Amino acid sequence: MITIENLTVKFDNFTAVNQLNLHVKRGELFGFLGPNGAGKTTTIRVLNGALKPNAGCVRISGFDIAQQLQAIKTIVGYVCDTENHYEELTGRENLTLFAKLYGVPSDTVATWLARLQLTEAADVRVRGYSKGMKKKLLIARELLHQPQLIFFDEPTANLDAHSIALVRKLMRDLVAEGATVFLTTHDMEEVEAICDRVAILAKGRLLECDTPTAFITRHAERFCDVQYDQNGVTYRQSFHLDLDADRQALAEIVLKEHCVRVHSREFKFEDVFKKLTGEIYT
Amino acid sequence: MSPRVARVFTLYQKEWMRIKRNPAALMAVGLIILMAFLVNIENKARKQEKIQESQPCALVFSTEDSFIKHLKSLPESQKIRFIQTEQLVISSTLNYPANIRCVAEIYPEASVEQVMHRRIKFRMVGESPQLQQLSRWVIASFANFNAKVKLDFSISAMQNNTPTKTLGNIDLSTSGSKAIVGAMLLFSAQYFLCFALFISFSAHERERGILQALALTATSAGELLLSKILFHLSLSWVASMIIMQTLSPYNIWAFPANLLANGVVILSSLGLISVAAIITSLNRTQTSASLVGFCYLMLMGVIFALAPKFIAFNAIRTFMFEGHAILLFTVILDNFSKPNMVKAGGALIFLLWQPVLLLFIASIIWKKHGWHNP
Repeated sequence: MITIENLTVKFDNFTAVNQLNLHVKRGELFGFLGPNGAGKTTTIRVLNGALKPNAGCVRISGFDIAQQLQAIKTIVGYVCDTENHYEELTGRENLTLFAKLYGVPSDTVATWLARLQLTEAADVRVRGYSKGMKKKLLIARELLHQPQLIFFDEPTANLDAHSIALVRKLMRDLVAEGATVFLTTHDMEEVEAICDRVAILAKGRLLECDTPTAFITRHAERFCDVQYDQNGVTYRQSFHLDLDADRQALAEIVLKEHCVRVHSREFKFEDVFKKLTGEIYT
Repeated sequence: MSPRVARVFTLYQKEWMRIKRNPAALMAVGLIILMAFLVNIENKARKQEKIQESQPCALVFSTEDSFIKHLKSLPESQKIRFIQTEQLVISSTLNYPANIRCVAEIYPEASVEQVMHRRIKFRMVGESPQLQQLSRWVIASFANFNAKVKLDFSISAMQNNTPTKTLGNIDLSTSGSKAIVGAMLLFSAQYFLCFALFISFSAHERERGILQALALTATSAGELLLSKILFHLSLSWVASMIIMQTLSPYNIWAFPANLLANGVVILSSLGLISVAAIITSLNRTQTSASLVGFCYLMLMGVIFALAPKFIAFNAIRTFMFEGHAILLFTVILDNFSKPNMVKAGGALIFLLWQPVLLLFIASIIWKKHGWHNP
């Protein structure tokens, strides 16, 4: 669906994206992660046609973004990180405007308002919406024309727990319906829960790209935390299970001391992310 | 309807919807139309006042006086203004109403050594030709009315020191001055609708990323600009026609059917929209765009103020369509009076190409910078 080859974007002397190569398959939920300033938004802006790259080639569904932007526009939706609505218009009027511009039937508006649970507030001016409602309206707006590829830039920020669940389910449903979702988020739990594949970016460079499970398997560090009593004093110690000395020390404590608590520490995707990006930034 | 036209029409409708939801944005134009209405009333009132003021005047002490009644019954009395006063001793320094050139002070009959006398004193400013007519008429009327009473009359100078009513230095009673004020009002309305409102609406959309969201639909940057041009042009045209008709309300189709008036309104509006589009495209925030727009207005004022005295500023003014538009508005509102016609021809030539060139530049800058998030 998306093919990025040697993409480079520079702002004066600062290289925001450096020789990025990426391939996103059709019908997958792709997580695009990185710390602040890693070049994620810049990459998305290039993919939207809002920014011209200094070098490299980007193809979306076979269309070259530099040559066939108009064709790409109709198959792409972009849920940006800021809610950009006409606040003096109602939610329904905002969606109707975009529906007309996309050339889709007006009854689609009601369908998406219902799907994002906004029907009751449809005729209220957007000025009166909460941040979460604005975000949901934005998502509805960008899905009106049933795009094949949707860019989500932090879609669950400012949403309550129910809305987060709704949006995550929506993203999975979109993928099930055949769309490709390109997700940028700082919520690692979300990435682990819903993404098919993940790319981690740091300082404009791609670090790794794989499934969340593969990331965890490859980078997991096994720790064991022990709590034991010795002469009435409670001690706590952590052991790295991949180190022989630590393993031996742990065995001795378990054999000799009165252990109150022994448990292995779970290695999460967030730890992988911190480990990988931390190496770059330290 | 082709998809392109349909999209432009949708965006055009959107602009109207926004203004409908925020009608206070047009308050300034309402005030300008009200000012045009007041200028028109002032112009009419001043004209009438001037006609009255320039009439010969008869200063009388009692309207019940039989001679005064006789004078008023004569058909010529229509051209005389009768003013009643209770001040029996009248000096030459009496503050007469403005613009009176000659006056006949008609005193009551009085007995002097058992002979009835009537004293009439004629006063005039400079050499007034009205005096001859007035004195002949009053004396002849008196002779016809009562030949038995002795008539004493004298002629003396009059001090007329009441200044003419003015607005600044402009006397609103002339059509020329009304046209100048009208042209300023017209241009102010256009400045507000095509310049300030364009910057306010578009810079807000740009700063919030709405323009970029619109441009990421099938809509192109050119379609976005075109819809905005059509919207602001429509507003400006309607407001200009209302102001012109308010200033000259006698023929309702005088301006909408006037090709030159329409052309000048459209061209000057296009020029202002183009400058506003350039400013919006090159500024990151609504605040900075509005500030630059305000500075542009100030700069325009400085150039126009200094142009008569400095050649350099005069040269710059030649390349500013605003001056040409104001001159043409003045000529149109002054019913094509001859002294301005030659200048107007030159102004029209400049106005025909300057806004078009600006629009061309604006469309290039808009397509490059105007639509996307700064």
